[in-house]
Parts: sequence; structure tokens; C-alpha cells
Amino acid sequence: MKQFIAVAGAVVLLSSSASAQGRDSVERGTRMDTDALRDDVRTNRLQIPRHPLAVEQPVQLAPDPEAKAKPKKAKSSKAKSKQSGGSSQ
Amino acid sequence: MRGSRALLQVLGVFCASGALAAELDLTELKAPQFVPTTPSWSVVGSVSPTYTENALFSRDNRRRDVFYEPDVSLRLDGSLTPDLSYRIFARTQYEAFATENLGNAAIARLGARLTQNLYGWRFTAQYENRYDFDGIYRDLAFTSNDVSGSVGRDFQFGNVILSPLALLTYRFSDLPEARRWRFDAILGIEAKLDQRWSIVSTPFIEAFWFTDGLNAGREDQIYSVSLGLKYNIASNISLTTNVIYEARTSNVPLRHYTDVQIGPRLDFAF
Repeated sequence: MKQFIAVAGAVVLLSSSASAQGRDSVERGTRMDTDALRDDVRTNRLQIPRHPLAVEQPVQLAPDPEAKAKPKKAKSSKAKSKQSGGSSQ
Repeated sequence: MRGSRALLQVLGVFCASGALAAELDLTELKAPQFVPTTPSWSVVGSVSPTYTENALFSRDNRRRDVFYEPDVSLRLDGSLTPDLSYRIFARTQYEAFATENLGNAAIARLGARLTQNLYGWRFTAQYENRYDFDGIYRDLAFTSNDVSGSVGRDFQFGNVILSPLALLTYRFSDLPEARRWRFDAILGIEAKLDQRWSIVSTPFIEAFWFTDGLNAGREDQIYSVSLGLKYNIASNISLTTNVIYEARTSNVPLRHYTDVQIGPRLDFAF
């Protein structure tokens, strides 16, 4: 009976120490997660510089309304001038 | 007669404006098409020596120590639409204590996340595969898969920037004791004194609900606040000296602890 109690006690002690080790890893991981979140708050405010090896992005130019409108306006003004019978020259 | 003249003038104005409208090219009215940008790489991180009053975060066995903690990420950032961006990352972090070597630990993470901007708020869904080590990458203690969602944004009031963030995570793990829900509410505060100096503070609430193993039913709460002075060395490098007070309460009394940490922290982004 005494032997049984001793063996059972040893098993309990071993299992509890193993689980305690596991829990300690959980504790340490939790602490580093907290630090990581604090780090994120600070690093999110930093500006990442333009990488020297970054591929140059093709610049998409916005359509210039005047570029198309001007010839048409010129045409329309000419038409108007023709209609009126006048000339700029 | 006067009435008919006035009517003709009004019609003339409308006809003229109609003619001008007809001259407009319909292609000019189309919204500019979104061109996805090329994904960009970056290396972001922090390094610090920190003094702690409670290296083993124990209620009764308080040990003072200094630890070194680098936290470095390699990121690939890109965007799918103007408001939807993604990030793929690898991140590693460890704590190396000067004397309390039992506290040494390391984490390696691989993950991805999607962030949607909506009405000025950032909604993020994230998956992270992580490896927790005892010692500095010595023995693998457990592996986990974290699934999380968060919402945050920045508010600026004059020289003060407030960055609230709420985060909910569930951890799946091969170690039952590590499985748990976690909720974080964090408020980043930065008050700019001039172009280089700022006062920073981070009130932080964490809540944990452990679901399995010997930790099943355990509920922890950690309350912390930091106060520090930040110096911007460049737009991508800053040095912050912080004092952090942290207290944990739990329904397992043995898990109560308090801690004070003091130390400089160098943050960088390249």
C-alpha cells in the first residue's frame, strides 16, 4: 500500500511539473505577445522609406480635359466665325 | 412680346449649355481605374534592453533582472483594391535574461492578413502560424494557429494622435493549456512636442479565457499603462524610453502579479 502511494505521488508530481513547464511557456508567450502589440503601436507610426530596389510604378496620367477640348473648341470657334462670316485675320 | 424675348434668352442659355455638354467626351467622366501596386518588401522591428521587477511574472517569487528583446518582421505589403490591402509576414522575437535564464523564450511566426478600410476605420482579419520555444530557439514548447480580427483607426487632435485598437483572437494549439480566447483594447497616445520629440503613452487592457487542459476555466485580465518620451531620429527610426506598469488579476489567485519595466526601445522600418 505504501509503495502504491509513493508511486502515485511520484506520478502526480511528475505530471504536475510537466504541465507547469507547459504553462510557463504559455506565460512567456503571452508576455511577448503583449510586447509585440506595444511594438506594433510604435512601429505603425514609422514611415517605411522608398526601397531602392522597388520597381518604378508606371505613372497613370489623368486624362487632360483641355487636350481634347481645345481642338474641339477651336473647331467650334472656327465654325462660329464662319457662321458669323468674320475672320481673325 | 417682352415675355417671348425673355423665353428665347432662357432657351438660348439652355441650348448653349447643352451644346457645351455635348462636346464633353464620355471617357472623361469615367472614374480612373485602380492599378494594383507592386507588392513592397519591408523590414520592421524593435530592439531593447529592459529592466523588469518581476522577471518570472510571479506573485510571490519576484526576481529583478534585465532582458534583451529584439522583435523583427519581414513584410510583403500590397493592395488588391484602393481600400483592401494584404500583408504576408514572418516575424521573430525573443527575450534573453541576464541572470534568470529560465525566463528565456522565443517565438517565430508566419502569417497573413487582409485589411479593409471602411469609413476611416481599418478592419483586419489575420491568420498566424506560430512556434513557441523554451530558451532562445532551444526546445519547441508548442505550436499554435492564431485567428484574429481587429478594428482600429487614428484620430488627430492638433498635436495629439490617438490610435485605438480592439483585437479578438482565438488560439488553436497542440498544447491544450495554450488554447484560449484573447481580447485586447489598446490606445496609443502620442503628443508631439516638436518635430522630433513626443510624449507617448499606451493604456492597455487584455482579457484571456482559457478553454482547455489544466487551464480550462481560467480567466485572466492584464491592465497596463506606459509613459514614455520618444525621439524621432529619422522618419523611419525612433527611440522611446518607457516606463510600464502592469498588473494581472485572475480567477486563479496564483496567477496574480504586478511588474514595472523600464527601458529604451529602438524602433526601425526599412
